[in-house]
Amino acid sequence: MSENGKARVVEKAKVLMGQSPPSSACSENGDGLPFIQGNAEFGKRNPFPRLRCFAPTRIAEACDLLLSVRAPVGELNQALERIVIGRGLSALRFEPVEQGFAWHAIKYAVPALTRVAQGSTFVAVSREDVERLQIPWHGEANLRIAAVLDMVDEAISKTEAVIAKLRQVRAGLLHDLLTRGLDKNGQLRDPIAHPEQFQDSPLGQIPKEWEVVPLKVKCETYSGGTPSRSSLEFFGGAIPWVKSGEVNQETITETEESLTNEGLASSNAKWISEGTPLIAMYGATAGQVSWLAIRATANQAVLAIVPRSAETVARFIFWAVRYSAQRVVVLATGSGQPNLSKGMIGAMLLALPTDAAEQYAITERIDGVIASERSENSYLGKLVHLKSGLMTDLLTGRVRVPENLGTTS
Amino acid sequence: MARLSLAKLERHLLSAADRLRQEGLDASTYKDYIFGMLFLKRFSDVFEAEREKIINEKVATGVVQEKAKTKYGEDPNFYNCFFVPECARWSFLQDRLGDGTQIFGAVLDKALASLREANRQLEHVLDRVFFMEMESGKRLVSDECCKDLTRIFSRYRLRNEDFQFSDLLGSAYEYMINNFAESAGKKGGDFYTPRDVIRLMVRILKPEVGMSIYDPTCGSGGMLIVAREYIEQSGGDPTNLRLCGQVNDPSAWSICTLNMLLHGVRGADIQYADTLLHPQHKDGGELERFDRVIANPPFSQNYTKKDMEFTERFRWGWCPTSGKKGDLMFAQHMLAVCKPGGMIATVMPHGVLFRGGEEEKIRRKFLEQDLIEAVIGLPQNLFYGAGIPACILIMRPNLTGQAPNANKPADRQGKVLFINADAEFHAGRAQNYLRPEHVEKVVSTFDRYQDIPGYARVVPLSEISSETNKFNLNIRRYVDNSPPPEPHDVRAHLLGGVPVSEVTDKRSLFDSLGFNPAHAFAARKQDGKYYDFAPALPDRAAIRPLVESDPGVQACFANVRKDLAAWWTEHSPRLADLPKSRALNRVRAEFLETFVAALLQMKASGGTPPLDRFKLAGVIATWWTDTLPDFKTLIENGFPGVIDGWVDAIADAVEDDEAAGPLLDPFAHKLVRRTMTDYLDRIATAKADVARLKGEKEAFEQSNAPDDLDEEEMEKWDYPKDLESQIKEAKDAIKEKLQAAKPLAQKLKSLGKNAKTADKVVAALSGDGTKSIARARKKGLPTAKLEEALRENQTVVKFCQTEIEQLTVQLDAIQIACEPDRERINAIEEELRPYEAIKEKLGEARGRFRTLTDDFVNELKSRCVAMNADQKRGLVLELFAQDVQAGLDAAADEKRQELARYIERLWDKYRVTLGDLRIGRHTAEEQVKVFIKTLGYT
Repeated sequence: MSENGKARVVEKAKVLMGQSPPSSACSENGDGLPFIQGNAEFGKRNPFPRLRCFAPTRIAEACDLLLSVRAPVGELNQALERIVIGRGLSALRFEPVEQGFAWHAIKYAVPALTRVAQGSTFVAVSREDVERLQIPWHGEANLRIAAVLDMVDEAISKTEAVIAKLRQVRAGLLHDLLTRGLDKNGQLRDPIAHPEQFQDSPLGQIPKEWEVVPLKVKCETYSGGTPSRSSLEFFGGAIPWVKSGEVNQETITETEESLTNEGLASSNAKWISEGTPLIAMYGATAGQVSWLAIRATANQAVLAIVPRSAETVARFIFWAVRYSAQRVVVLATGSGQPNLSKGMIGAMLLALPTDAAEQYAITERIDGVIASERSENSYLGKLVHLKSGLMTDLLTGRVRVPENLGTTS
Repeated sequence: MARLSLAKLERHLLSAADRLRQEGLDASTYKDYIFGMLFLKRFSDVFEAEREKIINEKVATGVVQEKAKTKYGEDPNFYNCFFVPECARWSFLQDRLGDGTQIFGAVLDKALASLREANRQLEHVLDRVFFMEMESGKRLVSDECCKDLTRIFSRYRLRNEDFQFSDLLGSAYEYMINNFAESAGKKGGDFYTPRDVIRLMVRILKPEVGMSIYDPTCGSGGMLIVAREYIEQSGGDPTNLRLCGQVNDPSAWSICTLNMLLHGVRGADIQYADTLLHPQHKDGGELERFDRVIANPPFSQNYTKKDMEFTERFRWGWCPTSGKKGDLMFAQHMLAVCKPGGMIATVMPHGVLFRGGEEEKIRRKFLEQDLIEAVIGLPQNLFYGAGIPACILIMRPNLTGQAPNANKPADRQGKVLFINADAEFHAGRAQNYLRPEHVEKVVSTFDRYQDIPGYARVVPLSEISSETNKFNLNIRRYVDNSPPPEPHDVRAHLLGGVPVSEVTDKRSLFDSLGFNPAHAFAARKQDGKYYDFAPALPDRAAIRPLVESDPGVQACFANVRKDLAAWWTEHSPRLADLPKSRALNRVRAEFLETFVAALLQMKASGGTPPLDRFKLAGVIATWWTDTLPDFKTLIENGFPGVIDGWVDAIADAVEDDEAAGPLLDPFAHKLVRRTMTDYLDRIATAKADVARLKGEKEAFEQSNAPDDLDEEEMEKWDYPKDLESQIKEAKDAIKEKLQAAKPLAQKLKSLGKNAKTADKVVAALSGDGTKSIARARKKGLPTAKLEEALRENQTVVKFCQTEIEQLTVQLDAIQIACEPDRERINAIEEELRPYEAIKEKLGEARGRFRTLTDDFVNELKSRCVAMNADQKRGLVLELFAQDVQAGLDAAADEKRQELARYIERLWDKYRVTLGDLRIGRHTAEEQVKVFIKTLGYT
């Protein structure tokens, strides 16, 4: 049992510094043990070696922690099998039962290690640096601490999987809603069971209650402007100003730059009310569509799309344009980055329900999934923060993990 | 002597380039010197051959040798080739190498000058090559370098009979141009168009015997050369082609002219001037018209109207002179000089397809007059120094100025074929390339002039002129090749299962490989819309093996091989006819057509074809291009010649394995693998032994490094060396200790001597001999002195003995002190013993490897010599067939991988449902909650 809940690595682990075997002994599919040179072949938890080596120099055992010691310092993985390690790595061999805890302990201590790293071309740390590294150590409580932290990690990775899945569900749902629409009962129309509910259109099969029209019929569009950059007094005011580069977010709630009243007056930028779809016409984000959630202005590469009447739902237009923008980009001229124009976007064909109520209903469904995604995302953020708080609390010993912890699991 | 192979000559030229690089020159400068030397050597060698011939002929008619030499041998009128004056002959130059009195660069310059003087056709061609060139007071190329170059170029003789096939030198020259263009970066694109793009254009234009072919911006002349090559490979006579080019860069003009000369093209008309301002090819004051006009004009340049001649060429309109819009001016020039029945292919930037202003007006007129036959979009990054994607316009002139254009084939009038080939290419490191299969797909699509979804579409002019398109020719507008968005089935994501529709969507993929979807997906009893993953797929990793070992897929592969074999048996005899027919392109076309048909119909096996028309054609096209040098050899030297060529190439590769540049692995050559397997096994064993022992040796050397070494010390660490120095240390220690023993030993020695002497005296005195005290006493002589002497000597003896004892103890102690050192030496020697053993074994393995590789080529040669003509023919055909099969297998395997990837994608998408994920997350979450609770946070 160490004092103060701390220990030097050297007291708890055998440290093996890697050494690169001669390159003649390594090949992609030859004999020998797997070999990794440095952290380039690190995975999330375990490495994926590409080379094998028949004249091993330094061998890490299965379950050893692999810590990168040069360029960069402080990346951590765990060996799955016996593996030859090159000079970029060190292997830390704790008692087998402690390896799980050591994973968290080393991660916690890595910032201290990177502080002592030095070198001109590559930063590196020496064997002494690794051995002297101070890590949290709480004796028999280690196991319980590791159990808690592992479980939070699992919750994090599973939440990430849920979010990825929701993205896919949303893509599928968007497609279904924008091609089949919702019937009076709020159910998706079924083109196979009820082909009579559908009609042909230039955009393929659409529900009978829908129409295909150019965007400009339903919406007016206008682009913004940029005040002269040479006048400092035009920028930095209270008026949010969207640049086309920012039209890569799904929703815009704040802007990088802002204009002053003078700036607004001196340029072509105009106010755009909140709840307006924006599309970038050129630049790196050309063809991307954002939902402007605040009242703002925009530059000349951003086109605001505003419904002409209450019969057209802005949020529906947002989804419909987003769904179809690729079709317009295809028509765009220019071979590298496409260049769209107001005219091309206005001429873009959209399929939409004639009834605003159905438009609302559709956006509600999509936004339902979005809300779910958003809450998962904030939940994920919470978990990540929780993890870092728990690490500090548990590893410093500020919070003791009671012995009965294991019994409840 | 073995004939030169293309690879060998290429690397030979590269080594000369390396020498010039050492002078600090870059490609754009040193290329001129390489070409200058090559030119001198080649023309001198050809001249010498001709000279020998002339002299021998004269001698045979009875002329005296000396007279034949001086009278006929030195008379330019007797020569069919360029006449080389004495001071430009290679033997003359070689003789001057050792002459310290002359500056060698000046000798070379004089040689070039006199060569130019003697041959008017060579005027200006080499004006830019000056070996004495000065730059800031220093020679650009040192005299030593000039001499080295001469030595390098002396290595190979470059007569026609020295080459494996006749156009080898031209090919090597083109290789060098390509090489220079590549290393010249942006500038390289100015005079070089990648050959794959040119081949595509030429194959579309299909030039014929007797035509005139013109490139208004000919750069190094590649378009003209490839066009000529096409005629030649069609079995036609290329000598009555009229090849014309114009280029606006003196360096490119020289390169181009030399290119023509080295390819043996006589009478090519290459002019130097700005084509838009001063077109040079005129016929009775009028512009000459050509059957095929082909070009890759410089992209997006400004032009000027000042002093422009023949302005009537630009009858469709005038692009602004500034604003970098010269592209359509070149296109108009090309239209203006094309014969009515002729055809035009030109590379253009995409901008001409959609830009507004004057360009739009010109484009509109082109379309209204129905001049454009096809628009082909190319992948990006094909051209040196220009990353932007380009397109190719195929056009035909129409003098009526009215649609339809009667010069187009009837079924193409009033239409434009759009081919969107921008997604099909081979990605290189810095550059993308078109593989033969990609070229073949474009060309065959053009030839068929039909729609291919996502690739090509025939669009009527009415659609292009419509309100939506307004004469915009942007390719994606008509042919969108972006992949469809990934479908996501909401129900499957939520509730699980694989949507039947996503399997049936790919039905053709499953069917083509003979893979029954039921092997991977199990139908549900109640639900016709969804499958489950079959029990044969417990995890993702099981997908690949399942697909690969599927009986249906296996059968499919077997069927393909069967049909391939049947096709080969039927058609390979056509290759044997090549030496007679020489019609490479005809055989190629026949192979393409019959192979595609055979493998689509699969009559021999009755199976279903796994590959589509384009993939199949790609297999043959790629194989054909790869094998073309062999076919050329076959035409000129028959089947034994092909084998000889392979053997030569293998021998070259074995000889110099250190030289730069890409080179074949001699041991992996198909001929070797077919005839030398047993021998290869022995080499492989020896090689593996060497590698293993070398590894062991290095591992031993690097082992046991102290931990406190820094990086640099670690690099230098050598364990056995360290051990040996330890031995030396120990030996030194022993030596030092023994050094201290030396005076002691000497002392011991003298003490011993003294003791012995004294002892003798004692013995004599105390004995009963003549000198003894006893005898003296008997005789009554006084003995006092004697007794004193005895005592004295006894004391000496005793003293010596004591001293000796002490010294011995001291010496023993020294020896004992040496003992640990000795033991250490023994121990270290013991430690070193395995190392010595490794070294010894390594030496043996290396020796074995060397002997085997040294004898390798001889063994190969003797095995090949042992074959008769029929065997050789059989072997070559067998190895050709093997290559086709390998290509076909690779294509089929690619398809198999595609299927496996598709199933994996379904797995990744639908195997786990949102519900599963949420439950798993919930469990983890609950557990976290419990933990948090017990931690006392709540």
